Amino acid sequence: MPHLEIDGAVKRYAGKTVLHGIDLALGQGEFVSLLGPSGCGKTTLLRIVAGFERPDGGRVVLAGADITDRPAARRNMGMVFQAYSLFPNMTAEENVRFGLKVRRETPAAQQARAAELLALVGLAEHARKYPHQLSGGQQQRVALARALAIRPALLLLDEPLSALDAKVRVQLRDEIRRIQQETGVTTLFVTHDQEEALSISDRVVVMQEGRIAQAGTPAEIYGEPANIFVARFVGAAAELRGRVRDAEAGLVELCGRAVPAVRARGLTTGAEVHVLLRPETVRLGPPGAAEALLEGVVASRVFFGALTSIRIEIDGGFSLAAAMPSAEAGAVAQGSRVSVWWDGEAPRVLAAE
Amino acid sequence: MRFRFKTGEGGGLTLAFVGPLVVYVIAFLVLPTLMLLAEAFSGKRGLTLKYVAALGQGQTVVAFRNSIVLSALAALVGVIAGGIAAYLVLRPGMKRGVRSLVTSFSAVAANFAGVPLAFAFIATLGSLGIITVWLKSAGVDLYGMGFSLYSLPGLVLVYAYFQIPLMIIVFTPALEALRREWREAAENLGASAFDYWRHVGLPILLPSLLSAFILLFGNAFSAYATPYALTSGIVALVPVEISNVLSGNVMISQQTGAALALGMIVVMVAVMGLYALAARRIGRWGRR
Repeated sequence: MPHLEIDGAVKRYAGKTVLHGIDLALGQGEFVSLLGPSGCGKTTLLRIVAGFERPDGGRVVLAGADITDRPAARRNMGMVFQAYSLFPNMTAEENVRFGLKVRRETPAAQQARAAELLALVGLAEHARKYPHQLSGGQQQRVALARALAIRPALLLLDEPLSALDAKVRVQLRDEIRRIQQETGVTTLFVTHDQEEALSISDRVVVMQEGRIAQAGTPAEIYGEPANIFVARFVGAAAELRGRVRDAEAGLVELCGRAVPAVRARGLTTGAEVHVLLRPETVRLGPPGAAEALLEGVVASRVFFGALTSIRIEIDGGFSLAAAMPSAEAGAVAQGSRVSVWWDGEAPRVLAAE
Repeated sequence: MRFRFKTGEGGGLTLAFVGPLVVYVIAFLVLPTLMLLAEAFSGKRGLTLKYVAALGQGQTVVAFRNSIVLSALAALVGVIAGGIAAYLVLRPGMKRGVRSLVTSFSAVAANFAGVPLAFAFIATLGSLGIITVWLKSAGVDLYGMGFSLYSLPGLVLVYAYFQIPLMIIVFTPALEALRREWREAAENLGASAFDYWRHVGLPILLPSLLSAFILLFGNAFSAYATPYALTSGIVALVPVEISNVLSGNVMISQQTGAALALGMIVVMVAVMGLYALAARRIGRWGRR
C-alpha cells in the first residue's frame, strides 16, 4: 500500500483548470520530486497535499486514510517553504520547539527534541540566535529541523533551495538527502531545477501544464525522456530533425546521411523524428576519422572546470554540443574542422508531433 | 545632456532633501519648545517657578487627568476597533472593492475632525439629535440612561470617528507585512488560529500596535477644536485650558499657557519614554 496516494486531483482557478486529474503514489520512505517550469501546477499539487488548497476533484490518501477534507493543522506534515518562513520573533530553538509546544508536549521533551534536531542539521551552537542573525542556508536548515521536529508522516519541501546561492544550495541539497535517508521520512519535493531533482530523488515526476508528463527514476527521466517536453526540460540535448531511413536496421537520416540510432527500431520507415543527443554522448575526432558520421566546424568552447562544452556547426546546417573532459578539449581548437560520431545506443528518437 | 543625482560620499542629495526638514523642525518645533520652556519659567522679575507650580492646582490637575484618560481611552478604542477592522478588510478573499472603499473612507475620515465633526455628532447624537430623538420615540432614552455627548464617554465616541480610520491607515502596512508563510507554517505544525495569533501574529505586530497607540494617543491629546466645539469647555481638557488662558476667556497669561503646554510636552515625552522601554523589550528579536 502506498504511503501517500493522490487520486485524480483536479484544481481550477477562476474557471481555468490548473491540475487535470493527477494520480501519484509515494512509497514509505520514498523521496519524490515534482519537477516542472513555473505554472505547471507542481506547487498547487503540493499545497493540496499539505491541506492549504482544497482540490475540486479527487482525493488525498495518507497511510490508508482519506485526508482530503482534513485541515492542514491535523495532517501531521512538516513543510519547508521557498521563502524564509521562520517565525522572526523566536530563536532557532523556539522555532524548532513550536510544533511540539502547540501539541502540548512537556518543556523537557520539547527541549530534548529541539537539541536533537538542531544537532542533526548542524546548528546546535546557533540555538539561541534569531532568524535575522542566521544566513539564508542556516535559516532553511532550521526550517527543516522545525518541520522534522513533529515527526511528520510526510515531509513537504516547496523549492527550499531556490533563494540560496549556488554553493550553499548544493551543500544543503546534499544535507537534505542525508537527513531524509537518516530519518526515513517520506518526502515530496517541489523544484524547477532539474539538476536538483535528478541528484536528490528516488523518483522524479515531470509536470507540464497541470499533467504528469513523465514519472520515473532520475536515470529514466534523463536517459529515456517520454516526449520532447521532458527531453527539452531535463538536461541539455541537441534536438535534430530527421527521418527514419530504415526502421529495422535502426538508421535515421540527418543532413542527407544515414546515422545509427537503435531507438528508431519500432518506428515507421520514413517517419519524421526528433533525434536527441546528450552532449556527453557526442564524440569528436580529427577530420576523416574512421568512426565519423558527420563533420563540422568548432564554433565555440565554454570552459566549465572539469568539462568543456564544445559547439559544432555541422555541415548541412545544424549545430550540436559535445561535452569533453577539459584535459582533452585543448586539442580541439575553435574554428577547426572535426569529425563527429556517437554510439548507436546514444540518440533518443521521438516521433515528431 | 544627462543629469545624475549625486549619492556618493558627500551625501549632497541627502542634505538637499533632509536639510530643509531639519531647518523646519528647528524653526517650528525646537525653537518654540525652547521659547515655551523659557516663558514658563519667566516672571516679571525674572526666573520663577510660579507658573509651573500652578500646574498642581485643582482645575489644571483635572484637565490633565481628563486629557490623559480621554486620550488613552480614545487611543485604545482606535487601536482595538481599527486593528480588527484593518485585519478584516485585509483577510484573504475580501473583495478588492471593499478594501479600496475602506481605505479611501479612512483617508477622509481620519482627517475629518474639528468643528464640522462636532456639529455632525451634535446633529445626530446631541440631546436633540436625529438619532437621539428617533431612539427616544422608539422607547430608548439615551440621555435618560446617563449618556451625554458632552462628557468624556461622549468625546471618546466622537474621537473614535477619526481614531479608527487613522488606525486602519497606519496599521494596514504592518498587517500586510505578516507573511502568509508564517501562518501556513504554524498551521502546518499543528497550531490553531488562536495559537498562531498568540505565539506569532500578535508578538510580531506588538511593536506596530504600540507605535499606533502612541500616535493615536498624541492625536487625541492635542485635539482642540473638536472638544471645544462639542463641550464649550464643560469638560476640562488641557488644550482648551491653554486656549482659555491665551484668549483671555478666563485671564490672559502667556506664561500660564506656556506652562500648560510644557506640561503636555512632558506627558508626551513620558509616554514616548514608556513606549521606548516597552519597544526595546518586545522588539528585541528584530534588532540587528
